[in-house]
Amino acid sequence: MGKSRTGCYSLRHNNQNVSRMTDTKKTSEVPIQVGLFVTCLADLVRPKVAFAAVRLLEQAGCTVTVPRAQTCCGQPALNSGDQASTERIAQGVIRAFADFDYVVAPSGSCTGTLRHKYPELFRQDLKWATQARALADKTFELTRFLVEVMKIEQVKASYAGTCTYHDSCAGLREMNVHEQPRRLLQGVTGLTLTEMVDANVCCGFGGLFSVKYPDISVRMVSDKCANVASSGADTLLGGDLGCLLNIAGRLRREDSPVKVLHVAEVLAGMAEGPGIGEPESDS
Amino acid sequence: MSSARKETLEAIRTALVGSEPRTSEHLQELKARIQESVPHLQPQLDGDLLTHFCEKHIAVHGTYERVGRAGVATAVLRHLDSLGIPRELLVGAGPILDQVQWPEQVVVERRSANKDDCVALSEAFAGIAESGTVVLLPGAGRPSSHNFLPEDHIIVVDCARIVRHQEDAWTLVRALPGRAARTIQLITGPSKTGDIEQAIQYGAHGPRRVHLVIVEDRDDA
Amino acid sequence: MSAAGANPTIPFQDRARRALQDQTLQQAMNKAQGGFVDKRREAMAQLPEFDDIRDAARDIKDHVLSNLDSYLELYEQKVQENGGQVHWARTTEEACQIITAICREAGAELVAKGKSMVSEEMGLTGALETAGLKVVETDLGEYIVQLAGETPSHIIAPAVHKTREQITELFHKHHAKLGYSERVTQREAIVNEARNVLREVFITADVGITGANFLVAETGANVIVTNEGNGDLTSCLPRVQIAVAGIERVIPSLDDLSTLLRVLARSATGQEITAYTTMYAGPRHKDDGEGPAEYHVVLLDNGRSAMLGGAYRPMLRCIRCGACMNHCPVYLAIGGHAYGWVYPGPMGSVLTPLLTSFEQAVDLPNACTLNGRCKAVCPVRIPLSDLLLEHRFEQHRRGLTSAVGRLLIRAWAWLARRPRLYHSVMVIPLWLMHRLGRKAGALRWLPLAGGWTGSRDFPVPAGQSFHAQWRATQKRR
Repeated sequence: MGKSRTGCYSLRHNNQNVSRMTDTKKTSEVPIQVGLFVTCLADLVRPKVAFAAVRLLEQAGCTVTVPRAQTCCGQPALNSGDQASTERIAQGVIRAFADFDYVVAPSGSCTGTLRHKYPELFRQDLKWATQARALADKTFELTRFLVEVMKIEQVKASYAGTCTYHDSCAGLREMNVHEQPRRLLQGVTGLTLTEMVDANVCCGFGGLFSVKYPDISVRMVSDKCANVASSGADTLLGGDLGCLLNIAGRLRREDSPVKVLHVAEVLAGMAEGPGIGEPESDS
Repeated sequence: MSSARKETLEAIRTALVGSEPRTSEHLQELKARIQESVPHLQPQLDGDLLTHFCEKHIAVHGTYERVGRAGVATAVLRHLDSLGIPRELLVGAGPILDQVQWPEQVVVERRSANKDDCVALSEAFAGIAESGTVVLLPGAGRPSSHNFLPEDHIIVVDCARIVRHQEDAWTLVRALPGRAARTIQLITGPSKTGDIEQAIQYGAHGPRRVHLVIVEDRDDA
Repeated sequence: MSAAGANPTIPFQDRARRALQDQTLQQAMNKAQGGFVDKRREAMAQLPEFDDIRDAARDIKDHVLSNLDSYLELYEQKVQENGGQVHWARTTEEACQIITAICREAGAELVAKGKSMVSEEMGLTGALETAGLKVVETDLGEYIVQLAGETPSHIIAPAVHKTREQITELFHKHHAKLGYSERVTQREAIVNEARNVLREVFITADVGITGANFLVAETGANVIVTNEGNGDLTSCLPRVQIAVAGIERVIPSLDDLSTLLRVLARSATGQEITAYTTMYAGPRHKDDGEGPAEYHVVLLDNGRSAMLGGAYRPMLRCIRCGACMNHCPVYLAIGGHAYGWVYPGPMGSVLTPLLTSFEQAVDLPNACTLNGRCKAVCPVRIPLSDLLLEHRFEQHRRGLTSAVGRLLIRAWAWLARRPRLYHSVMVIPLWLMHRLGRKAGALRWLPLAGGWTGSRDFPVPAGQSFHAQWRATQKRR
């Protein structure tokens, strides 16, 4: 396989055992082309999450490409009010992901930015607005994509533990992610799912909020950790690394034994090894 | 200060630049929208209106009794006795109440309430089944003070005037002949407050208790 | 900007920190929190049409806003037909002057007040007291807050930050001179004492001032919504009645009112309707026997007309239900006073820069995680979190945020647009952080990130970016 025109690397379609509800959306023989939006946090802090996403998408029958020309969706600039910088980053993302059937990311907040904020950014510019709209319409958070577009009923994975799921705010309110990860988790062999109180209440990350307003942020994440503890779960899962780094950071400071993982890692059968914030077993 | 008026309206019009021109036709259209006003989406409410009305009233800590046309006085007195309240009533005007014959020992006064009054007796203009609400239209012979100052409030409700939705009450109000009602009071249960640690306490400033005497379409008591 | 109790001199961060450390406040907020959220959820569950009715409520408000001038004229006409007077005020100072003049001309000494957030915005009580009048708040929560010399901390539950013990002490201190010598500790007794004390006020007040949830153009009435009945005693007994309202409060008809009422109480307290939902249209008729001889409405602009023209217009839909703050994790953590002005929570963070100035309220739009719960629960679908983000854009345009911060973001964005360079630059820091932290799994300290590492560990990066590892796997094939 060689470099395509846009400088990406492609993998051959890699089909493993998955069960589906009905036919996938695309009825032709050509597999669905997915561009993976890695997210800056997965890229820099926990690449395993992106590898897990690739595995899940390939298991579902997609052809996954990882465009090289991506770093971040631009949220740090967006949420700081720097419209110009955000636009320039967005233009790069729009260009890099123009050719795919779908754009999928293991993150509610990044996909929320692509889907809802990009079109808003360019509303005064018809050319870019059209392209932003086109990107937005094909952008999905990972678990929602698997369940609703690829019609995946069950993944082939096992995990011996009691898990509780934190609904990240953007995932829940911008990308309508709530039942989908829970549905997939329920099919994981050996996994018990338990709901914590206020699972859908903000963990206090909010990007730069966590360092600009630390007192409030720490109060919010402490409340979240207390809810995790009283759920009785030994594992915390979520769909957004920002939240998970924040909560894991506080859990570690509180010496909590709870293991924190991205939901993709469990679903892809890649949950062995250290959780977020835990030391590696070997060097 | 008419310059404040002028400036405010101008500021609004400037901000609404690009909207419809402010001609007299435009104003007429808006007036017509008001006059032809109809309800928007309303909650579905099936079943017997009276039953629903009573259930809602109970749910807000109210009490009631259903009587025939001849039973109003006894029902009122029964309620006073149950509370140990002396038989001294402030009575308001209304088609049903005006016909009631009170026994001699009962003290009936028709005046504004003061803070020492124990109980007032009013007649509702209508009832709203949707929320268990009583509609009162204070006016001549029906002082507002009756509705708020006394400790207890007894309200006579004509069953035939219990409507389904709040908007149905407006239809009745609009149909009143003569001058429009100055005051419309929707009362749902007794006075209450949650201001002390978010727990409900009754009898904040208005009546502690609201008792309805619901008059059904029958001649007996 | 004028409002009693505003604290622009104390930075937001300090106010927030104090609030977080205030055990009494935290106790009080914890008690309130679950109730707010649960009650609204129950109310929604019992009304399947709730979401559709919210859309209808939004549409009514939008229609009014795009015809605001005309509806105000129609409303005014009706009030005048009823024998009432309408006064217009561009600023809060003007509003206070108008109301003071009305009170003076009436020879008033005692003013009874129903709960009105717009009157807080005006600083009305202070202005009237300066003019020599005695003013008593009659809403129990407002009364408590007045005794404490504070401002309300929530727009529906003004004393939510007070515990029962604190209220007992306030009553004991202030009611002794009225002849109440016992300390009342039980809720029922507290409410009874307030009832008795305030009854005197209702009966002897010369002027009654309330707010107006809505102004109905069809009838020329002001609508008030209470559970206590204090608003009605304030409106009915004194000889002069004044209703104060922002210009955005007008609505066309009684049918429109019903739709808005359906979402108001449910969103605020989870009730279907409050104990008292009442409307007053003009002074008494000759044969009424009771009622005010004078009826005045004071309409306040104070920056609202300016909001009509731009991105912030949806904020004018607000019906002051408080649902947004009830669901805001930041508000629930720091309480209302930390916001520093009249309106707290998400709606306060949107309004304060607009009604005071952007310079005076730099923190508020930023002290937010943009979690969107406020937007989700708003009964008239105001995109509150989006408007807070819009404030951040405006702050950036005006250069109000830290110059260093803006520069850092711009530098980061410059790098982020150049993926190859970005990844080259990241190689060393990632490797270094990994080396330093891999034994522990998390770093207890990071430069420039004291806000994080003060109370949280920072999970150690993997050592190599995903892109680097991905390229390596591709090369191996």
